Amino acid sequence: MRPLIRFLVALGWVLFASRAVAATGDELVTQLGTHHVEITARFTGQDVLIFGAVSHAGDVIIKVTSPEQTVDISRKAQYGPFWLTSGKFTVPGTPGLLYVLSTRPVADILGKAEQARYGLDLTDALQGVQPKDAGTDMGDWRSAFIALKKKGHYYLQDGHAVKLLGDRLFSASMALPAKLPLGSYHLEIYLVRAGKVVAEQTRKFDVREVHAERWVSDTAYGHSWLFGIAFTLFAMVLGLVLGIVLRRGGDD
Amino acid sequence: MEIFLPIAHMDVNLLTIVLFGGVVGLLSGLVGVGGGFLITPLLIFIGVPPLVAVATGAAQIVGTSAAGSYAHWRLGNIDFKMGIVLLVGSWTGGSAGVFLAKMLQQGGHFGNIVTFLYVVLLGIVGTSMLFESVKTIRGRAGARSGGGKRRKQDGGWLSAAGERLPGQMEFPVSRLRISLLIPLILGVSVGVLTSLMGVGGGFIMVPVMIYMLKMPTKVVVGTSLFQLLFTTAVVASMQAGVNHAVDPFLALILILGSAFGTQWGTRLSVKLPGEKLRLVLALVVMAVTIKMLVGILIRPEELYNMAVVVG
Repeated sequence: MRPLIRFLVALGWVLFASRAVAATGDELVTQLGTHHVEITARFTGQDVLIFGAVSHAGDVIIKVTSPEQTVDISRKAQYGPFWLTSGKFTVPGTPGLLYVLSTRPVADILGKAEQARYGLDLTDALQGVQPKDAGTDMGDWRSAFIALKKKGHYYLQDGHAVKLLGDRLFSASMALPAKLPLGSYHLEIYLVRAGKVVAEQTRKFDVREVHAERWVSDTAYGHSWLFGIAFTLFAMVLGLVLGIVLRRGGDD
Repeated sequence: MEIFLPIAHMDVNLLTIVLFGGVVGLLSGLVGVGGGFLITPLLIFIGVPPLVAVATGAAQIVGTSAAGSYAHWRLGNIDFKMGIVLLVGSWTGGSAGVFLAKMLQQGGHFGNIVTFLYVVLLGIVGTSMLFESVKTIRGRAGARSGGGKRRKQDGGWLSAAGERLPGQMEFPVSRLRISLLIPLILGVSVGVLTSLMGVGGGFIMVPVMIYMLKMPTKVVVGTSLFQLLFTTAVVASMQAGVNHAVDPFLALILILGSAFGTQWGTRLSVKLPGEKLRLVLALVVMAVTIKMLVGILIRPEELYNMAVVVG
C-alpha cells in the first residue's frame, strides 16, 4: 500500500508543481519523496525519490552530499612473503556519500570550469582534504579512496539517473546503501541550459538511527565503562540462566 | 536475515553468527575445550574488524563459561586460593594487553599481530592435537601407557622450579607448595592472550596445571574455568571502556548460539567416539590456521582499507 500512496501523492504534487511553474515563472520546483531515513538493525538501504518540474526544457543535475566523515585509511604492502598492513592514517572531513545524478553525462552538459565551480566531479571530492599525521608512504590513496567509495555505492556519478517525463517534469530515484553516515543530507538541484546553470534549489533530508541501535551506540561511546561492566555482567547472568535452563530441559 | 552491528559498524547475516556460535559450542561440548580460539578467526574472516572480533570474543566467553564455573563451584572443584593468585596475574596481564591493543590499533598494526599470533598458536595447538589423536587412534593401549610414563618422568620440572623460587605458598586444595611466581606468571601470560586474541586460555592453563604443576585433575577444570570467567569479564569490560570494541549484538547472538550448541555437543559426545572427534577438531583448527596463513601470503585484491571513525 505505502509505495502506491506515495506514488499517488507524488503524481498529484508533480501535476500541481507543473502548473505552479507555469503560473509563477519559477524556473525550477522540486520535492523529495521523504524527509527522514531511519536506520534500524534490519536497515538494508532505502530508495529516496526526488521529483520536480522545470519551466522550459533543459538538463537537470542533482548533487547529494552527506555530512562529513573522518576515516582511517590503511594500506597493505609486501614484507618478505607476507602481505601486511603497512600503516594507517586519519583523514578528517571527507564526504561520506556523494552522488551526482543527471539527465545526461555532466561532461556533455557543462564545461570544465562550471563543473569545478559546482563540485560535480567525483575526483574533486577530496580537494582541500588533508590527512592527519601521514608519516607513512601511502601511495595514491586518493584514487583508492574514491574507488572504495564507488564500490560501496557511497560515491556515484550517473549521467542517466534523472529521467525526464516530457520536457517539463523530471524524477530520480537514489538507492542509498545500508551503512549510511548519520545526519543531514544536502541536495543541490541545478537546471542547465546551453552550458549554463540557470536555476538552482536546495533540499534536505535526515538520516538517523532509531530505537535500540541508537541507544546502544550512544551508550557504548558515551558511557563506555558503564556499558562495558553492565554488559559483561548481563552476559554472565545470561550464560548462567541459559546453562541452567538448558541442562534442566536435557534432564527431562 | 541481515542485521546491523552498531559497534562493528557492519551488516552480518544473523544465521551465520548463530551458526558460528552453534558450531563452536558443539565442538566444545563434544571435545571439552572452550571455543574462543575459533570464534575470533571466524569473525575476522567475515570482515569484523580484528579488535572488535577479539573484544567481542572475550565477552562471548564470559557468557559461555558462567554456567560451567557455577556448576564446578557447587561441586567444590575450585581451588580459590590458586584461582585468586592466577587472577591477580591475569588481571594485570589483561589490563596491560588492553592498552597494548589500543596502542597497536592506533598504529594500524593490531590486525597483523592478531593474525601472526593466531597462525603460530593455532598451528601449535592443531599440530599437537593432530599427532595425539592419530597416535591414539592407531594403537590405543601401547601408546597410552608409554605416553603416560614419559609424562610422569619429565612433566614436573615446573613444579620442581616452583619449589626453589622465592615466595613459597601452600595450596592445600591442589596439594601443592610452590612459589607464588609460577601461578602469577602463568596468569599474566594468559591475561595478555585474552586481550590480544580474545581467548580464555584454557587450552594453555589446563595442560600446564595437569602435566607441569601436577595439580589433581578434579580441581584443574573448575579452577581454570573460574579463572577464565573472571579474566574475560575484566578484559571484556576494559575492551569496552578503553577501546569501544565490544559489540553487544554480536556477543549476545554468539552466546545464544553456543549455549545451544554446547548442549547438543554434550549429548552427542556420549554416543560418538572421542578420539575421532578430537581428530575432527584438530582438522578444523588446522584449516583455520591455513586459511589465516594464506590470507597474508596472497596479494590482497584490495590494498587499501577504509574504516569510518565514529565520534
